[in-house]
This record gives sequence, C-alpha cells and structure tokens, in this order.
Amino acid sequence: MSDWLSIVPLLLVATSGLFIMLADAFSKEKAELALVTAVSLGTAGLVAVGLLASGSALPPLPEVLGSYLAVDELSLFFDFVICLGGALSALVAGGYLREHELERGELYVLIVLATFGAMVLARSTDLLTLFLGLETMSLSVYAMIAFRRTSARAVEGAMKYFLLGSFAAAILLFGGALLYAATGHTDFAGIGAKIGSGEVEPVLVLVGMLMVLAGLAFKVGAVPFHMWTPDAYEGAMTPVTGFMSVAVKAAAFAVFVRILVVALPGEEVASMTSGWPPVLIFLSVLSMVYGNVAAVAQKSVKRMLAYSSIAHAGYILLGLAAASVVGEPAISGVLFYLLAYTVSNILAFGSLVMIGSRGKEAVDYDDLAGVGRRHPYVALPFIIGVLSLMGFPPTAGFFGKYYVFNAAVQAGGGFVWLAVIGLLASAVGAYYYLRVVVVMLMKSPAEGQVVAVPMKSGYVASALAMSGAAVMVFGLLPSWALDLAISAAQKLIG
Amino acid sequence: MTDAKFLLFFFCAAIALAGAIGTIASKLPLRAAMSLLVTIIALAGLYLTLDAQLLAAIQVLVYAGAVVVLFVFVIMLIGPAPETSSAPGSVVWRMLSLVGIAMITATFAFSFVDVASTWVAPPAGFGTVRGVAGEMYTKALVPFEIVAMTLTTAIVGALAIARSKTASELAEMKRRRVAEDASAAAQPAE
Amino acid sequence: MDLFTQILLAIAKILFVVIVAVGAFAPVLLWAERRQSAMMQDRVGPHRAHIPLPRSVVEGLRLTLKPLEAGIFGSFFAAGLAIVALVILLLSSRETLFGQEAKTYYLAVVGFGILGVLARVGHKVHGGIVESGGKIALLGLLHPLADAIKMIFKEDFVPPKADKLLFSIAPILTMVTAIAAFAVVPFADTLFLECATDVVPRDVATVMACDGSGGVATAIPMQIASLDIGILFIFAIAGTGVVGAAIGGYSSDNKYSLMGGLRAASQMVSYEVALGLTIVPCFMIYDSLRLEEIVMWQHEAGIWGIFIPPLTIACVLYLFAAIAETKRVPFDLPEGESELVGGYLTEYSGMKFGMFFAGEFVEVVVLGALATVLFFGGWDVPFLYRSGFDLPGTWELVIPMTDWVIQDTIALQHWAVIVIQVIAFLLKIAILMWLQLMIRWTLPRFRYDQIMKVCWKGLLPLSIANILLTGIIVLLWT
Repeated sequence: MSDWLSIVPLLLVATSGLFIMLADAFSKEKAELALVTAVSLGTAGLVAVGLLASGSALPPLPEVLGSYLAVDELSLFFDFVICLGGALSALVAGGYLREHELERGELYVLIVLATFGAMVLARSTDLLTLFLGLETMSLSVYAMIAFRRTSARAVEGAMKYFLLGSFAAAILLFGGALLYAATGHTDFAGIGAKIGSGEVEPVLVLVGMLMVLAGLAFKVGAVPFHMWTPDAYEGAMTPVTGFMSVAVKAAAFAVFVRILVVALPGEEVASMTSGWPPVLIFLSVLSMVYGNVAAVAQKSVKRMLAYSSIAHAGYILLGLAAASVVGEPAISGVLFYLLAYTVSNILAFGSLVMIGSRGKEAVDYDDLAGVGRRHPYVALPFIIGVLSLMGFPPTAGFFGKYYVFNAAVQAGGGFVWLAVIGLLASAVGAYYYLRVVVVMLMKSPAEGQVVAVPMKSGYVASALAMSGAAVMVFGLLPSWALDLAISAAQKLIG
Repeated sequence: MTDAKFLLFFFCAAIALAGAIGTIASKLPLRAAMSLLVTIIALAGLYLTLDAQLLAAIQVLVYAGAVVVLFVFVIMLIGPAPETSSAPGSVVWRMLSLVGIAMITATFAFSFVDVASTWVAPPAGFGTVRGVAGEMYTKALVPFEIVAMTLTTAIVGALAIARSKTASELAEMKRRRVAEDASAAAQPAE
Repeated sequence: MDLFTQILLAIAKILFVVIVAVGAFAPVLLWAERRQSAMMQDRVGPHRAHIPLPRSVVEGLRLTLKPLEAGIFGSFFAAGLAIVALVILLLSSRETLFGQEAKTYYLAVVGFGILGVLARVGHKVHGGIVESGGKIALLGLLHPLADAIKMIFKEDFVPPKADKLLFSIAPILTMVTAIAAFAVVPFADTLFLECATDVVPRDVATVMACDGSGGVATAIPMQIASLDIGILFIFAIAGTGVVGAAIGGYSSDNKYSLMGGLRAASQMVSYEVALGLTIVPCFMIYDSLRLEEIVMWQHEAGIWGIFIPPLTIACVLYLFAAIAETKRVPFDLPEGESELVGGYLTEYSGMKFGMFFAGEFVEVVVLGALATVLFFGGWDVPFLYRSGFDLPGTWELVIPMTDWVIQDTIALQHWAVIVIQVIAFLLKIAILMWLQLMIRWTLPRFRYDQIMKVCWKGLLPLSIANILLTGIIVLLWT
C-alpha cells in the first residue's frame, strides 16, 4: 500500500469530492458542507506538507498507473498550496453563501473538484493528464462563476471565460498534438529526451511549444491573454474570485515549471535567441506593466485586484524566465511566491467578503470609505493582505518578490533590467494598494451613500485568522517554507 | 488492400472537406448542422482507413447520434433565424486572413514534406474493441479515471447552473409577485 | 473464393435481408397491427383490398365446393378407418389385415389426415371467395400492397415555405438507417458451401470440404458484414436516424411538425442512452460485441440469454427502452394525434410519408431482431446442431409393428439445418413483434414528462445497477 503514498493527497481530495456530492443530496444544512470541505482539503494539504517535510524518499507509484502522474516534491508542494487555497476559499464561501442566501451544496462540490483538477494539472507529466486536469479545473471554475445565475455580471463573466477558455484549451490541445507529431511522445520526459537528441522537426516543436505556452498563459491571465480576467473576477462571487486567483494560477504555473524544465530543456528550445525564455520575458514585461497601470484606473476593488493578479502573473513569469539561466533559485523563488500570493490573496478577498453583508456588499472604493475607522477589526486583515500583495516587509509577499527579483539579478545580463522593470512596476502597484488603505482609513462615506456593514461569520473569520497568521509567519520566518521550496526545486532539476 | 485504403481515404477526405465547407458556407443553421453530420461521418471513414474501427463507430455514435442531434435540438428550440447578411469585414481584414491562412498552410506543408509517408501495418488487435479496451483499462488507467472525474465535474457544474432555485432567488420571485399583485390591486376595478 | 463470388454472395444476402425486413415483415406487421386494432375496436379492418375474379371463374369455384366437402368427409373417414385398422392390428397381434402390413395403415392415417386438412382449408378459402362474389382478399394481406401503390402514385406535396432539400432528405435518412442496421445481424449458422447436401460433423472448428478434394470447405457467414464492433454499428447507425425525424419536423414549416420533431429528437436521444446501457450486461456475459459470437455463445452453452438471471432483467429493460425508441404507443408522443395532429409527419404525404412509415416498421423489426440475438438465442433452435437434431439422453423409440425407429439423434443435411435456423430466427422475430403489437394496443399513451422521468429516473439507474450486479456475478463466477 505504501506505493500509493505520494498520491494520497490527490486520492483524499477525489474521494472527499464524491463524498460531499453524496452528502449534499441528503443534507439540509449546507453550511456544514463548507466545514467538511475545508477540513478534507485541509487534511489533504497537511498530508502533503507532512510528506514533504519528512524528507523521506517517495516510493514510486505501482506500475499499472504508468507515468501519467509525477511522484516528486514539487507536486507535493503544489498539493499543499492548492489545497490551502481551496480549503480557505471553502470556508469563506461557507459564510458568504449563507449571508447572501445563495446556499446550495454544489458550490462546495465544485470547489473540491476544481481543487482535484488543479492537483492533477500540477502533477501531470503527460500531455493527456495535463489536458484532463486543465479541463476538470476549468469546467468547475466556469460553473462556479455562473453560480449566481440571476446576476447578469456573473453570467457575462462566465460566458466570456468559458468561450475564451475553450478556445485556449483547443489551442493548447493542438500544440500538444504538434509536439506529439514532432516527437512521438506524449509524456514530458519522452518529449524532452527526443528534443534533446535533436532528431526532431524544429518548426513543429516551436509551433507546438508556442501554442502550449499560449494555452497556459491564458490560464494564468498573462497579457495579451488576459482579456477575460477582469470580467470573470468581477462577475464571480468574491470567494470564487479568491479561489480562481489562487488555485488555478498555482496549478497553471506548476505545469509551466514542469513543461519548461522537463519537456523543453534542450539547448535549442531553451536558448535566449530561439526558445521559450524570450516568449516568457515578452509575456512577463507586458503583464507587469499593463497589469499595474490598468489597475490604477479601476473604480472597483475587485477589478483592481484582478488587474493586480495579472501583474503578479508577470512577476512569476519573470522568475520562470530566469530559471532558464539560474535554475533552482529561480524555481524555488517562484514556488515561494505562489505560496505567499495564495495566502495574501485569500486574505484580501476574504476580508472583502467580511466587510460586506447582504445587500451591502463591498465592491467599489466608495463602499470601503471609512471602514477602517468604523470597523477596525475587519479592516485590519484586508490591510495586511493588501500590504503583502504590495510586497511590504515583513509580510510573506515581500519575501516572494525578493526571491524572484533576486533570482533575476543572479541570472545577470538582461535579466537585471527586467528586475528593474519589475521593481518600477511594483512601485506603481504600491500606489493603488496604498490608495485602498487610505480610502479605508481616511475617507468618509459620501452623504446618503449605503455603507457596507460587516457580516458576522465564524467561517470567514477563521479563514481570515488562518491566512492572516500564514502571511505573517511566512513573512517573519520565511526559511521553513523556503527550505521546502528549495528542496522541491532541487529534486526537480536533479 | 493499400490501394483500396487510399481510394477510401481520398473519397472520405473529399466528402469531409465538402461537408466542412458546407458547414461554414451554409446560411441556414440546420443545413450547416447537416453538413457537419456529413463531415463527421466522413471522418469516421477516415478512421476506418487507419484501422481504428472502434473509434469510427464511437465517432458516429457520439457525434452523429448525440452531438449533432443536440445542435439540431438547439436550433429547433431557438427557431428559424431571420435572414442575416454576413458581416461585411473590410478588404484589409480579408486580405490579412488570407495571408494568415497561407502562412499556416505553408508552415505545415514545409514541416510535413520530409516526413516519410509509408503505410505502417498496425499491430495485431489494433483498433478493435478488445485492443482499445485493453489499452484503456491497463496502460491508460489514470487518464481514464480522471476522465470520470472530469465528466462528474461537468454534470455537477451543469446542475449548479441549471438546478432548482435558491432561497434568495425564491424570495426575489415572491417579492416581484407581491409587487405585481399590489400594482394590479391599485388599479381601479372596471 | 474469388472476388466475384464474394460480391455475388453479398448481394444475395443484402437482397434477402431487404426482402425479409422491408418486403415481408414490415407489411405483415402493418397488417397485423390494423387487424388487431380492428378486432379491438370492432371495425372492418384491412379487408377491402382484393383481386377481383371473373364471374365465370367464381361460378367454377362454386361448383368445386360440393366435391370439396365430399373430399373432406371422405379423407377424414378413410383416416378414421385406418386408425380402426391399426387398433385392431395392435390388439389382435396379427401381422397383416386385409393383406396389408401395419406400415400401410400408418401411412394412410398420415396421408388421409393431411389430405383432409388441406381440403378443409381449400373449402374455407374457396367458400370465402365465392361468398364475397369473387374477391381474393387474402385475409387483408393485400392491403399493405395497395397502400404502397397508393403512396407511390399519390401527390407528393411539399409545403411552399419548407426547406425542400431537408424535407426530402429526412425520410430517406430514417428509412436507410433503419435498414442498414440489419447488416450485422446473423440469421443462421455458417454455411459450408461444398457440404450443402451432406451431413456436417457437429463440433469441428474447420469443416473439410465434402467433395473429397481434401481442402477446407468454404465458410459463408450468414450475415452481411461481420464487424468487430458488432452491436455498436447498430447503435451508431440508429443514432444517425434520430436526425431524420428532427429535420423532418423542422423543415416542414409547421408548428405541429416542429413540436413533433423536438419531441422525437429528445425522446430518441434519451432512450438511446438507456437502450445502450441496458444491454451492457450482455457484453459482459457473452464477452463479445460481435452478434454472431453472441449467438454462438448461447448455442454452445445451450442456454438462451433470457434464462441467465441478470440478463432476464436486462431483457425486460431492453424491451421497454426499445419500444420507446421506436416511438410507438405508449411512447408515440412525437406523433400523438390528439395533441400534435401528426407530429413531425403532419406535412408529409405520398412516398415520403411511406418511407417514414416503412422506416418506423423496419426499426421495430431491427430492434426485435436485436432482442432475438441478445436474449433469445438468435437462430439457435434447442437441440439442433450442425449435424442435425440431438435430443437429450440416448434412446430409441420403435414404432409398434414396424421397423421404423425414432432415435435421439436425427441427422439432417446441412442445407436443411440452415433453413430450419433461418425459419426459427424469423419466427422469433415475429413473436417479439407480436408482443410489441399487443403492448401497443393495450396501453394508453404516457404524458411527456412521464416518458422522460421513466427514462432518466427509472431505466437509467436500473440498468446501471444491473451492470453492477452482472459485474459481481461475473467476478464470482470466473
């Protein structure tokens, strides 16, 4: 039985998804499902991190399972990040749905299934599992966005995301088919070995690679594949937005890491002149600049956070591009960044949920005016989250940015300039992040405006407490998490 | 046998292309769907030239029997569309799209030119029910199980969007009805 | 076997199937249906189509009636006398009576008996013709023929605003797909060409040629195409047929047609799913999708599918889904005349209507044939093997006072075996069709939501549960 050890988190999530589906059919009290979801996802995450921290060698999977799923520290790390995101979002959703009288158990099932898809995606070592994981994750996210179906915004966002997402998935699939045509393999290791041997048609490989990268860049919301992001983020219910910005992104970046390092490591495709690094740099610079600049102009906090998530994708892509030169430090930086981003983003979106209540949801800057003075305990987590997203020490976000930019500087050459662009873009980011804080603390609501009234929910409060604690702990003591990231990155590069 | 297969290939390929052109060129949605049906069946024929019998059957079963029927179903539910002229599209865009098509075609043509085009005899049991089932339940067990989860996800997602109303939706409906009743009552009786 | 023979054989088999399915079964079914409904509703029924005879012939026939009556009486009287003679012989333990052996009397009993029955039938038929003034109605069997002629010559009306292309394609799609599904149905055991007039050994895989050449006999499978995907072919083809009804309803430019087409499409798609799942247990037990192998399994195991417990359930579910799939009462919502005039058939007339109609009846035949193959042993006749009949046990039955012996094994020539199998197969289909007919004229129509509920909440879970049950049984069994 110990053969299955390394995919225990995945199996836990899968079975709990089916169990919650059944429980939903027979339960009257849907909020309890949120707790069950959070506990099961949390357990899976803890199992993953326990396996990772124990440092023992992972037994290979039984032979019958083939080479579709990775057995390595990297996937355990991502299991942890994704499950953490899923569990916290489920808790936030538990409070949100009850407050807004949208209670239906399907949302929790969808959260778990999306988490499952994301974990499969992060674990995939084959184009087949990559696509299936991506579809499982995407399908449930589409449905989660459209969940509040009486809202025109939600339906619009879901429709846009669905259509563009299907298109992106088709492009990714076609790219995968070209890679298969060029190499005769669907597994990343086989593709990598074949490309390394040099007996391939370079045009096919390059076109295939570009298409796969485009499909993945769509999922992380990198410019110019970001069009859906603001609408989908704004239309979705806030807990779902939190989940999307966290788990989906983490899983897509996991595939990025795996494809770039395992499938496309050859001289030809990983060189600065003709391979993927220039593509990533292109995406990264566009995302950093456009995301930050566009975020400044937003009136809605959710839209602002959507654009900021585009900018964050840019920073992470920068780290990935640097991985072509320095390898391990860049990858571990990316991993830590994703962890920090996960907890900070959940904190920000969770407190946004907490600040509003039925009929008085907090969406725009105006809604937040003076909340800091009226309800300081609800405003505090939001401010911490935003500061962490900004990269303010001593929060987790600071060290995330630090490690990524540090890797870029280590890579030397043009990457130093990229790091400078990233820093400048972050400075722009500081403006709009601080602007929210200023609005919350200094501004008073306009005359006759409906003010947001904080809701009361143990679920949301506990989610905020946990993610807030994580932001501070990873910020004050980054070494523990960083060590895990470093060991995962080292094992991957070998 | 190879000659017969070549003949079948060209026959099916021609029909598939004709159907595909019909699909995009037809102005009536139902005729487009019927052209799609032709393409789908021709594709099944192409699979047969590759000895993939089961795949061909499933292609017809799933696409012709279910997907096209659903298309037809939707077209029928929506009803006949009013005559719409195709979007004008500027000359520049048309030229650009032609250039794009030419470039893609050229790229693929060049990359496939030196791929040796020899018929390789398929291994024994290839494409048969037993052969495919063997592959699916032994070698590709993991993707197969994940597909099960994917389909479950799709069903749950569809239910989540389409299922019965939530408390808030019901409350809203009730509010609306009460308001309508009130406005009806407010009007003077005739 | 050269290519020419192969092609010739294929054509022969296709002709056979088309004639049996379209030319014989569909009209007979149509006739039986009308006959039955006429009986139930106390109407005249399909009796009026006839071939008129000239008066002189009728008069001639009238003259034969009296002699025939005498013939009937004479034959039965002679047979009675022979029986009496036999009884006397048996009781008196004599060898001969009136110089004749017992054998003669046996032959006389059988011979006069048959003669009497024939004369009786002839009298009845003649009497009928004479009574009706020289009209040969053949029990109304001519009625479908008259219908066909009528439809061919009727005006082929196309609604002015209809989509003419689709309007014409729809009936073709429906009928062709229904007939094409027959391609994989086996209607007899393998025929060994060179051994047609010999007795073939019972359990030999490859039969040696009987012409003494020492080669292997040419084996001709008695089905048009032997496909590895077997039953999936039927479903694939039948699935395409759904489109026929749908586009027929859409292109008619009529609201009733549209509603009928919608109902037809949704009902058929839904029940296709259930239909496919109900027969999965068969594949699990027979371990094959090839219809000829499925029949062979039942033939060799000596047990028909319906007597294997999980398949009994599967059979009931299958018949339920099959009747719904053919859109017939009580599932004929797509053409329910009380609600939709004629459903998707409203605007159709002439041969286009005829093709829809024929397609529907052929579909009934196909699904009956499928049920026969899956659950009722296909062409299998109990105790009939390649070599002839082999009844259980080993025994002999000597007919008293003769050297005639009836044994447990009766060797039959190969062609006779094949013919018996074909007849058995057709008979089974006929019985199943009759069953469908009875259901049709017994049950009232469902409501539309009930149809969908029965499918998705009844048949589907039940068939999936049956698959699970079969899985467990197969697992324990092997």
